[in-house]
Amino acid sequence: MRVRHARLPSVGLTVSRGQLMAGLFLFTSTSGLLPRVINSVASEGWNGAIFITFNTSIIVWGAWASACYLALSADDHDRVRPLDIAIACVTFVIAALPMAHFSWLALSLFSSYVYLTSPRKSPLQRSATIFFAICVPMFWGPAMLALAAPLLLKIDAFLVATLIGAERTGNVVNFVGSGPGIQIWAACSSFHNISHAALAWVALTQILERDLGVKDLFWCGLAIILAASVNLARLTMLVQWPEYFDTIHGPLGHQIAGSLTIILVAFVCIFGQRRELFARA
Amino acid sequence: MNSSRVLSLTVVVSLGLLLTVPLKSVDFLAIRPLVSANLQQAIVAMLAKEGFDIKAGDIFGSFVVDAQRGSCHLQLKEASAQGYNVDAIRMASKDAQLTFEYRGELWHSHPRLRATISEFWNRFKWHFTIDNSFSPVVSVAAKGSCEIGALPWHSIAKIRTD
Repeated sequence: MRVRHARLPSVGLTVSRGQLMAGLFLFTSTSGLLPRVINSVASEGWNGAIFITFNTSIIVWGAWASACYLALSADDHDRVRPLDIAIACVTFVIAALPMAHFSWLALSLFSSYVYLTSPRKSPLQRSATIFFAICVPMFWGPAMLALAAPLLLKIDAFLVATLIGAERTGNVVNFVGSGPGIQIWAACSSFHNISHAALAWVALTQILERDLGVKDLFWCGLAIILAASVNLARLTMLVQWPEYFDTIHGPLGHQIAGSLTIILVAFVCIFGQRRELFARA
Repeated sequence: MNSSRVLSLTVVVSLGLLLTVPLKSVDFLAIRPLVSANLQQAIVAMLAKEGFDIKAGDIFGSFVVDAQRGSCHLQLKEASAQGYNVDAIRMASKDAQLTFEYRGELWHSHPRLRATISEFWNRFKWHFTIDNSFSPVVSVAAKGSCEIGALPWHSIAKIRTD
């Protein structure tokens, strides 16, 4: 089949629609992730940064790799439309601004556009879905948490206090027995785990080229509940055993909780889509 | 997409990243402690000028300034712009009258939305090197007969990073 390319007049580049979209997906997402990599290496050194997966969840890295693969394997035969060029220019300008937040904002807008203008279930549309889902834990989730912190952190505190029968005031849960308590900050919130679990589910459905159905609500919901439960269990242990606060709250507790979350989420995602997954294998 | 296309795409994307990522990588979190340290200094200087006896310390990595003048006792802490630590501050100041200083004005409740949006805007200006000042929220717990409205709060309204 003959490949129809559009010539971009200003730079003299010949690109197809698929190449333009893939290039911008790579640029916007990498410009959001790279500052985290650079800053984690600068603060922790290479070994430490690799150990904490560059301050970014391994679920995000996996979703990003699969979205990039889909974008690069997209159909290369479509012609660039004038609107594509206009949207690409706006996306590039927003993503080039000197704050990583703008990369995620640009990626959200661009992936929405690609999703709406690409053929149904095409690799480009599936890639756009994953890229948009990545923006949730990387940008929209933390932004929502910053704006609605009092309510969301109180929900976490309420659940911990109810589970263990401890006293609570706002987002502060008193230690069991006597003494002060823990203050739940945004970084400790279970809402982070929720967006990561949902991202893992969405990424796998798109890789497997599946249509979303009612059963997805069940399995994705289960992944979310398990991911949030691990975090709630960790918070509850902090309140129950304050003498082990440093161990549970420190890097060791963080790594154990993080690894357990990933194992549980991966298990639910694989088990929930085992038929499609093993049919492909 | 064939391999030569992927290669040329990678080169173009890498060039774009080389030009834009260094500016994005300036770590805002690294200068956050500097804002807190400068805020603490500004608070201590303001209260000392007003004739208070000052005792400065820290709790869980955040500063606490205790100030005494006659029967008036003040305790000042930095509150996060998003209000994450407001409940803990409220619990610790049960018997005191609690107010929040923000942009040189006193508020009865934490101005969460304004402070959150303003912090994002200040970070934006800092990244663009347009302005390096921030407007932190400070909790003021007062016990005894204090005329806190008469204090020159405008002197801690804006804190610079230099």
